[in-house]
Amino acid sequence: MRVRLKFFKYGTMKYIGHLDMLRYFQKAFRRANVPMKYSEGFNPHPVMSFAAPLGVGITSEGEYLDIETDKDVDLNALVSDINSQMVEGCEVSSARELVQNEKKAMAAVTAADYIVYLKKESSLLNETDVKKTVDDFMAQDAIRVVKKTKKGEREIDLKPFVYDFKGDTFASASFLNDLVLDIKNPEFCCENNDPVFFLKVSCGSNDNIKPELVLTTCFEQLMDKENIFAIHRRDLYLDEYPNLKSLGEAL
Amino acid sequence: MRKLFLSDEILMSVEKSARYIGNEVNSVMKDPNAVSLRFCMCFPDVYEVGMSHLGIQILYEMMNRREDVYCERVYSPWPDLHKIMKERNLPLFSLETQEPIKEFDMIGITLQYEMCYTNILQVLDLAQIPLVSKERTKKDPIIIGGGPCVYNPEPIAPFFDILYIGEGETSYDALFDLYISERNKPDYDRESFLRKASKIPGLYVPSLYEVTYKEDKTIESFMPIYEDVPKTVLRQVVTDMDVSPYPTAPLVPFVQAIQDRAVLEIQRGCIRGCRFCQAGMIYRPNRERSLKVLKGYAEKILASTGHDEISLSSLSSSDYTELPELIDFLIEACNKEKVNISLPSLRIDAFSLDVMSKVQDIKKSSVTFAPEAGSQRMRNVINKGLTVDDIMGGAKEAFLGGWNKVKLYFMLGLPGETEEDMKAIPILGNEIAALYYETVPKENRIGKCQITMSTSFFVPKPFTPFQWARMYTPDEYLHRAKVVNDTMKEQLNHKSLRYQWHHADVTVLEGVFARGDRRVADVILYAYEHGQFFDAWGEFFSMEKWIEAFDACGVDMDFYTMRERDIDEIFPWDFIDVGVTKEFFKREWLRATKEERITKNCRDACNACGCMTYNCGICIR
Repeated sequence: MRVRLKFFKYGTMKYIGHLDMLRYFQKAFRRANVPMKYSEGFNPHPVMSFAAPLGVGITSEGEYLDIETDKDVDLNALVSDINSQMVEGCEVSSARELVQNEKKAMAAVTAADYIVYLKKESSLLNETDVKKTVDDFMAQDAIRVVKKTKKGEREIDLKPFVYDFKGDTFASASFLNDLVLDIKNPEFCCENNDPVFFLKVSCGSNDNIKPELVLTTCFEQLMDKENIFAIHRRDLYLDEYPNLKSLGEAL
Repeated sequence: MRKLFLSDEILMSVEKSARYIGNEVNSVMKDPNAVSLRFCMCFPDVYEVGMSHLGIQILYEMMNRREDVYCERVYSPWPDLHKIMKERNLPLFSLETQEPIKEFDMIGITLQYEMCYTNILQVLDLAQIPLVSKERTKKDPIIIGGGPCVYNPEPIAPFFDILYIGEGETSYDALFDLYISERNKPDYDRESFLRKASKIPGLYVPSLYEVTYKEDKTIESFMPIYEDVPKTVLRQVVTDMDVSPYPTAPLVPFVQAIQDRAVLEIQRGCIRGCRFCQAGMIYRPNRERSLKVLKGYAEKILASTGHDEISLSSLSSSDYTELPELIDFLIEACNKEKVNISLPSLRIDAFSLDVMSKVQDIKKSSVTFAPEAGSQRMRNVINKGLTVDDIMGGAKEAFLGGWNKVKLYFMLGLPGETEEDMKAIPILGNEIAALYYETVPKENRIGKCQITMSTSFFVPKPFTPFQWARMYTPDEYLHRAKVVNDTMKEQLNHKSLRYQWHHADVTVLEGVFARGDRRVADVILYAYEHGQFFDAWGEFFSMEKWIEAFDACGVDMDFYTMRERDIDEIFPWDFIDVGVTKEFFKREWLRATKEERITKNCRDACNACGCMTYNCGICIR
């Protein structure tokens, strides 16, 4: 049985890297007696894969992990069994069975939603009308930007990959309304008047757009500042924009 | 939500920030205000190394069983964080409550190898605790050292308030009880507490002893400064391994530890009595844990951790009497649960090869022998009872079983080593390679066989028959490695042989620390204050800096390394009673160097080493 788990990663768990999360879940599944299906060979590994790696320091309420069990399981019981083995900062919010031949999350993912705000130096945007700047930015026909990849640098047009981009303040941003987790970290700038952003961007193995790239392109004064963005992933999607479907939604 | 001590800004700027956040599965969370004593256990090396250590997990479990005690953990911050903490004056904090450890009652530092000595000072320094015991006051924690290095604690004695000699399971309760009752008295003072603590079995309070030296720099006397302080400190030993505390829900780190697996400690001590081996002496008598208890632990640990691998921990695992039954049980249980078994190095014979073929991929794995010396003469000197016939017989069976990789471990610089003995190492390697080509017909071979020989340089350790032995200069060590290497190249099968050797500088420094006295402490302090720490890590070790430190402190390295000690010399560690008597060590030293004679193992005959007094384990079987 193939199952897609949706989980949250927040609090101190945001410092746990991608590979460490994989080992963490492997061990949690064993503790929870999840009947995982194993690969063959001298070192059998449980069959499981994440949708899209989440960078260290980023929180999320929309992470996905596909697993395969060697017998049918009750999904509600599965979620509560796994959650009984989780530590603070990581919990499974739902599970759904994948339909036959449904693509693995890793191959299916096409887009991601992010909420972004500034960890510090929000004064850099004091003189700026955030809402208008973002709207003007999105009104351009093309957004030329140099993207750094593993193979080097190349110029791309961001425009086709940024599906939605909004700027607002904590006090009035409507895109904060349906968040499940409280993303306001008392360590960072999150007063009522501080700016906060929503992004829906292309995500996946081909055209993966980091939210930092869009923000620093839109607001040049934020360029080259280290560790300035607090990033929270809200959800991951499959299919093509504008017909995006959440990875957690049944097909 | 738990609050972390370090800011997000710092955590995002250092490597592997997960080292500093705690929150691991099975970590113990208590209300620190609801306990009488806060203890912080420290492994003075990086997190991934420290988290692999079984001893800390045992004591963490044992101490936290007490309701009035809360034991937390701390490890050495990596140099990137070290720098930030120094710059910003941030005090070192525990992983569980994320609170400064200088506020704790006690800090226990485990000393597993000499090259971590500067890291002791790093931890104290970052914790903002005075580095030297005599500068500490009522508000500072009691600093306790433990682990194998305390069998000569003198080079680090000034940094500790108490050194715990022996196995931690026995005396901490008495120490905690004493502290809790003393600390609450209005007239509590450190000195009188420490003086009372010195009477608890196994506890050594260095400040209560005075050393005087002769003109030739050797020790003249080593005496307590008060009459009521014991003259000798008796090593502590667990007498019944089946009832001693064991962590059945050990911590599971997020960051991959060096040992990312469940560990079963099957026995303590060793019956063999190799004369170079400190562990074989200081953990006597050999005490086994029963099969029944081990089976229960294995099941509980796998269930509570979710580890997908299990390994056995002990010296000379092949000597565990119920090993076949234990391994059969593990293979059956683990196959069912898809758990891998990581085998310790077993004596190579039909049994171990059969087991290995069941749990490892023969094509990828190798068989390992530790002859320790190349010639039979030298093996007699070190009392290593492995013969050429044992090695050749085992290798032949392995080759027939499909293996073609062999690893061989040796030491160079053993007492009385001649050029013949050095050359015997590659000659033995060549014979094993030749045996492969004789044994395995051409059509069954998968390429060449691969015989890898590794040598380490021998460091004489306290409480071994070789504690009197001299060492050599780094150049001499490298010369000996060259003899081995050159001889290897002359061998017929040299294309099937590989040779690796260790760094010689670290060996010499380790030798100074292993048998040094209190005067060496100045050098360690100087080296730390001039930037040396993480010496166990090649990238941070600098012999030039250490030579500078020895020169600056006027301490002569050669005094500690280049001398063969007089048979009646007073050693810095003589005040410790490890159970094995100095008479036994003398007997063994003479048997080794003068007679070149083997001494039987504890199972075949009792050699009256002195450990019978503990009245447990192999001694009473």
